[in-house]
Formats: sequence, C-alpha cells, structure tokens
Amino acid sequence: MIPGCLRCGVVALARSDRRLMEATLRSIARLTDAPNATALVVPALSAHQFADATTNPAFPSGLRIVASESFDTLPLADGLRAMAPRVDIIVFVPEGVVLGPDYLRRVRETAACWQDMVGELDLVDRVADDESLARSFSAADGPEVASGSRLLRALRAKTLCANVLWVRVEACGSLKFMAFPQTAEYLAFSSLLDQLRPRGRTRMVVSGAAVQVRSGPERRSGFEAGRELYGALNRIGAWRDRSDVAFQGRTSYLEPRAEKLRLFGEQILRYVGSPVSRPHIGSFIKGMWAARREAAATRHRIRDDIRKLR
Amino acid sequence: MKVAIIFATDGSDGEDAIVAPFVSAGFIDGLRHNGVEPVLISVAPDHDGAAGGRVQPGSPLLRCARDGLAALIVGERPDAIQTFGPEHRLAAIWSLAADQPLGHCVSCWRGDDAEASAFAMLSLAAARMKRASRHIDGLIGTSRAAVGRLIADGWFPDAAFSVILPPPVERSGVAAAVPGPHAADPVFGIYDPLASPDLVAFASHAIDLTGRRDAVRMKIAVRNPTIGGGPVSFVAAAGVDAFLSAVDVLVVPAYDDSIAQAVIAALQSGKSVIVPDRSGAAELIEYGRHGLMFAAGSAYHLANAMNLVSQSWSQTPVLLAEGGPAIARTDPAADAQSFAAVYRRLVSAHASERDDARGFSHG
Repeated sequence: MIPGCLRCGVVALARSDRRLMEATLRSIARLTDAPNATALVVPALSAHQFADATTNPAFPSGLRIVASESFDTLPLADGLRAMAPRVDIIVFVPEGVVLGPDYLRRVRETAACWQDMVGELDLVDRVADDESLARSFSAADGPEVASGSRLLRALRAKTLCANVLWVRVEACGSLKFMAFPQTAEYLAFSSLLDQLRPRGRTRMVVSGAAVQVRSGPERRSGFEAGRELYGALNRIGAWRDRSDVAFQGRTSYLEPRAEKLRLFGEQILRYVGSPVSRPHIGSFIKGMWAARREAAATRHRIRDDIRKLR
Repeated sequence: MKVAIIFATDGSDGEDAIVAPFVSAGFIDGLRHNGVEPVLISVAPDHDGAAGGRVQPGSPLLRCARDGLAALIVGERPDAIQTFGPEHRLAAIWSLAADQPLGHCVSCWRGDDAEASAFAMLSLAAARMKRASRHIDGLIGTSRAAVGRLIADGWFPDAAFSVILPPPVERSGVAAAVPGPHAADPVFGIYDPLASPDLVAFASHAIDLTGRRDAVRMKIAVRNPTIGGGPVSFVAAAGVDAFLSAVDVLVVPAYDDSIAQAVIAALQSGKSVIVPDRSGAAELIEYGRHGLMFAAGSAYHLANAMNLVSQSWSQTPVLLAEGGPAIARTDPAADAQSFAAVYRRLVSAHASERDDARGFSHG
C-alpha cells in the first residue's frame, strides 16, 4: 500500500492546561505530512478554555472539538469514536506532547509497510521545560533536548512518561475501554495495546521523534496524583488476578507490581536528587503510600467478611 | 514476470482445502492477466521419483520431492519465488531459494496457536527455522494475527514489508436474502466439513452458556453427520449454498482459510456471521457491520455474541448484509491483481537489498 493512501487522524487529548495543549496543537499544525482529520477531545467542563480553537490560525485547520462527558478520566473512547469513521489510522497525542515535523510521515510509512501492525506505543522519554525549545525540536537535532540522566531514564516508571499511541482502525472493533486517571495515559494506552495484541502485531518503541513539554517545577501537591495512579495500578492488578480469560498465559505491556516498584524507586531518587521539586515529590509518595494502605485495608476487610460468612 | 509458487503441504484434506483456491483457474488466470506467469510447484516429502515431472497431465501443478526442487528452480528460472505452507516445513526450501526474490504467504492453518507455541518451546529446531526465514524478502498474510505472531516470535527478521490479503474465493451461486423482520429465533449454523469432536463440544458448551439451551437451535454441517441431540442437529456438508439457505447465522468457532468460502458465501447471501477475532476472518468482517466477533477460544464470549444476535433478531434483522467490500476483495481476479503487485514489490525489495549489500561491500 502506498503511504499516501492511508488516511491518518490525530486526536489531541486535553486535560486542563491550556498552555501545554497549545504547544501540542501547534506541533500538529506544523507536521510536514498533514493529517486527514484532527480532533481535540476536551472534558465538557473545560470546553470553554478551547472555545477559539477552531478559528485559531496557529492550530491545525479543520480542527474538530469533541466535548467529553468524562472529566476525570482519559477520554480515549470519545476520541476513537469521533475519528474512526473517517480515517484508517488514529494517532492519540496527550496534552503536552510536541510532535516532531516528520512524526506522521513515519507513522504512515510504518503502517503502510507493515500491514500486520495494528498498534504502536511511543514512549516519549525526552523532556523540555520550555515550549520554545520544543518548537525548534526535530528528530535530527534530538541531542539538544535534555532527556535526563541515563540512570533515571533506565529506572523511569512508564506511567510517568508521556506516550503517543497509534492504532489501525480496522482492528479496533469491540475494544473495551476502562476508566483511567487523566494523568496516566500509559495505563489506558497499554490496556488498548494489550487488547490489540492478539489481533495483529503491536510494539512499544522509543522513537525520539516527540518531546514532552513541562510547565516548570511543579508546585502543587502531588498527593492526589500519586494516590490515583497507585490506586489504578492496584485495581488493574486485582482485576487481572480475578480474570481467568483475558490475561491467561498472555504477556502484557503493563506489569502492575513491577510498575509500582519503579514508581517508588523513581520518586525516591528524584526526591534525593532534586531539592526544587522535593515538596511535590514528597506529597506524591505520600499519596502512593495512602493508596497502598487503602488497598491493604480493603483486602483485610474482604478477608474478614469472608471469614465471618464461614 | 515468472513466479514460482511453491506449496509445501502434507497432502491432508485440511491443508489441500486451504491450498485449493490458490491453484484455482480464476486465480491463475487473474495472475496471467496481470502479467505474472505462475509456475505452481507442490513439494512433499513423500513424493519420490517424480522430481520435476508433470505427474498429472493437464494439471498446472508440478509435483516434486524436496531434493528435486533445486533442479526445477534452475530449469524454470523464475523472477521471484513465493512459498506457501506451514512455516516449520519450509526452512529447507527457503535456504535453497536464498538468492532469489523470496516471499512467503502466511495462512491460517487449523490449530495454528498450539503449533506456534510448540515451536517456541523446541528452541533448537525453532532457532534453525527462524534462521532460515531470514531469506524472506516480503510477506503476504491472510491474517494480521498470524503474521504478527510470527514476526513477534522472531521469524522473518529481514523481511521488508508485510501485506494482508484474503484468500481468493470463487463466487457462490447463492442469492442474497431479502432483509426483513424475523419473527422467530435465528437458526445458527456451523459449516465445517473437518470439524473435530472438540469443536462440536466447544459449540455445545457455548450453547449451554447462552442460558437458553431450549430456545437455541443449531445445525452443524460435517462430513460424517451423526444424530444430533438437544439443540444441535448434524447435517451432511454437501454444499455451502444449500446449507446457508437453511440457517440464519453462520457461526465459525475455529477458523482456517478453508472456511473463508463459507464466510463469503454467508455475506453474499446476507446472513449474519460470528467469527473469532484472532483469525483471517477478522480481516473479512467489519465488527457490527458485517457480523460479530468473539474472543477466539472463549465459549463464554461466543455465547455472548449468540445472545446478542438472538436478542436483536426480531427488531433489527440486519447486523450485516453489507459485505460488499469483503466480497470484492476476495474475488479471485481482484486478489490475483493484488498478489501480482506484491510480486513486483518483492522483486524491487530484493534488488534494493542487493544494491545495498553491494554498496556496503564496495564501501
């Protein structure tokens, strides 16, 4: 199949930070290989923030706004539903990810060359604190963008990395969407990829063709984010333990136990190595610890209830 | 362009049924019409003295032993070679044809999953075969799942592309049913001449799991019908068209490429289909539009799909009836055109790889 024959759609997933979303939309508008359709999925409650998105000349032309009813979970299903009838390939780009100019061309080429491929998850391990740095970014000048120390990169929890996912629409029939926290797109993406794995080839890559923009050192409390993320990992672990069909003998892109260890490891390393972010990281660890205690309490309560029933 | 298409099957009914569409007159004529002169070669370990000889007068299929294949290839001088058969039988042939533009067609065979996992465990044998598979320049597959699983397992490391094409299916003579409201529950049907007792037990288990054993009716067409019991009745697998006229929904509990004909005939006649999601059938069916899918091997999910069809049967007679694109893609002439395009791509991929190698050695 000729690459140009594949219709590609880009779905930008907004959370709450207008500035980061703008950086993402600008990068989509700068793609050398323009997408056939672009949609911005925003929680209905914050749709007013993007009221001018369809007329903003810096944003992709023909941008469609999709208001999602879910305000605290990643609106992946809404994005897929809005885009699936119009394109062959859908690229999901979360808020704050800046795509290199050639990003879509690469996706198109891969999808056209390997028709057995049904999905690919790109781990974005390069981080820029300033959007202007990300704007001048391209895959060729990659080394100019700081990507963290080698040790940190090796230990990084995937759930804390930004990700870009593309899927082949043909293979996406009857997928199940679970509700995941907005901040942890890796959970949602890996869940989709796990479901697609038996239907064709899936893979995880670190292409280096995208960069994550941060809005400077985080000063807000990380307690809720840590608690949500750790709680979601706990729920996935418990669900898989119960499920005898879906994950029987199958490998997964997400191992909740290993991921929880990585999370703790990374956060402790950052706490030690980054005095500026220490309050945020400290509250994040406290949030995770609270979720851990809650899960243990729930387990004990269920065990007691079962014992009483006997 | 001359292309040698090498079949390495064991001569069993199951494998012959999968190969048959690729030696059909419609497909061969389609290849010729698109500028490809096919040389069909069947290689079987038990063919002895007929190496390179035309054993069936009038048949386009050359039969030879593996030892005679090299001489046959030298004699025919094809521009490209495409192999066809279970991968574990092809390692020697791939090594033999290493210098030529070499493609392989990955098909859906019965019991594919079990076979693949068995070979993943036999590490030495598997490693040898995977090593031989590096000679493959490009892949054609009837199923994304099958091709993806092999590549993920380390097969075909040097392939430059993969193309998903359905097997060619001769047009059925069955007329399209007129969609209209249905009063009664649907009659489910399984058309599988080679159905094993396990497959029948699987279908029966799925009926139990629907929770409506008394209401569900199912006909199973097999080669040797026995007397059915309960909701299941067995009929002789005489012809797919006749069978489809007696059922409302075609159920495919286990898929191999020989079942494609029944699936396409069902689409052509406007019948609903329920197929496993990890098979080549998934490339033919658009979920919810042409039919439903269930998680392969799960009787529970098959039961869910059957219930979904039953529940909506009286109100929405159409889950499907829009199988036009799938029918068009499996047309032998259209399929042959796509195969011819792949053969040309194969030759150019091999040439560019050779040029790269030459450049590297000179550089």
